[in-house]
Amino acid sequence: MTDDSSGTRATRRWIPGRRAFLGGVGASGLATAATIFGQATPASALVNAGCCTLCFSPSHTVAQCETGQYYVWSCPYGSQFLYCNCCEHGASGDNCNHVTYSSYSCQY
Amino acid sequence: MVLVVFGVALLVLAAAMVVLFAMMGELASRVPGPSTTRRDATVRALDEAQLGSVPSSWPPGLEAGNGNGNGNGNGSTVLLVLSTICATCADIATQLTENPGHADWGELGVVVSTSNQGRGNDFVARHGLGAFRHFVDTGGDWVSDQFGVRVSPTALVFTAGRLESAYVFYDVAALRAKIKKEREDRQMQREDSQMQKEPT
Repeated sequence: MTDDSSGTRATRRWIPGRRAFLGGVGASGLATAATIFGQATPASALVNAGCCTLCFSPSHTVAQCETGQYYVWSCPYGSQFLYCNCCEHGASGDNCNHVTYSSYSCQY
Repeated sequence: MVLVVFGVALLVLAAAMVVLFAMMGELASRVPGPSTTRRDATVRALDEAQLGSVPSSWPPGLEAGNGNGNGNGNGSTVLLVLSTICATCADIATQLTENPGHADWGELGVVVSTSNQGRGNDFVARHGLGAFRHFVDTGGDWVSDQFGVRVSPTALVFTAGRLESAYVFYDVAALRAKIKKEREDRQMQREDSQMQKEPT
């Protein structure tokens, strides 16, 4: 870096593509490291509907869901007075294994 | 011959250093900057909560000290009620543990309402809630039986073991500010009423 006669700083000559090349080298190194040392996280297939996070895409009404064994819970959605009822039907087992279907409905 | 071997080794080492620094640079470019997420700071009262309730029992996990040296919820406790089925609750859990989190909130306890124990345990583990006093409430039975609450995310504020107020919220920092202000206001009211009672 040198100062020119007008007092402004001259910019360093930049070799085109150097940054891209090093980025490529780094990305390749990271990909290799991820392949060798990385560990995949378990896949998640949860479905978002309104403010609910459900095991399956909603397929029944909440009234149908609220029969037999079920879990229903509410959450506020968007505007201040809109609530969703989230429901999962089925026996309580681990995670979604014993859920037969999901449903939700939102109302003010 | 030895010089050639050393030369090749040095070359390999230099190349490895270049790759290492290139990887660090690439990694740095992938890390997002400080979060600029703007959350709704609304904190509003939850009408359906049974204010004044004193729980008949405190479940395991919530009975430890609550920051005031009082066990069994006899002091000033704040319970955050989250649910595995509520999308916003995952964000609340993230707020509790990340950037910078709320580990300093001594009176905090977390209730995770869930359809089954396994899903609740997963939620706690995934969001690092094990660092807080917590209870996995299967079916949401305890929190709904004791306080009539079946909504998340909500905050239940206890004073002297009694449910004093309940809120729906989206931003933990805003909730803390609201609770702090509410307690300061109540303290001032108590002091005012005491001063009025004292003979002049």
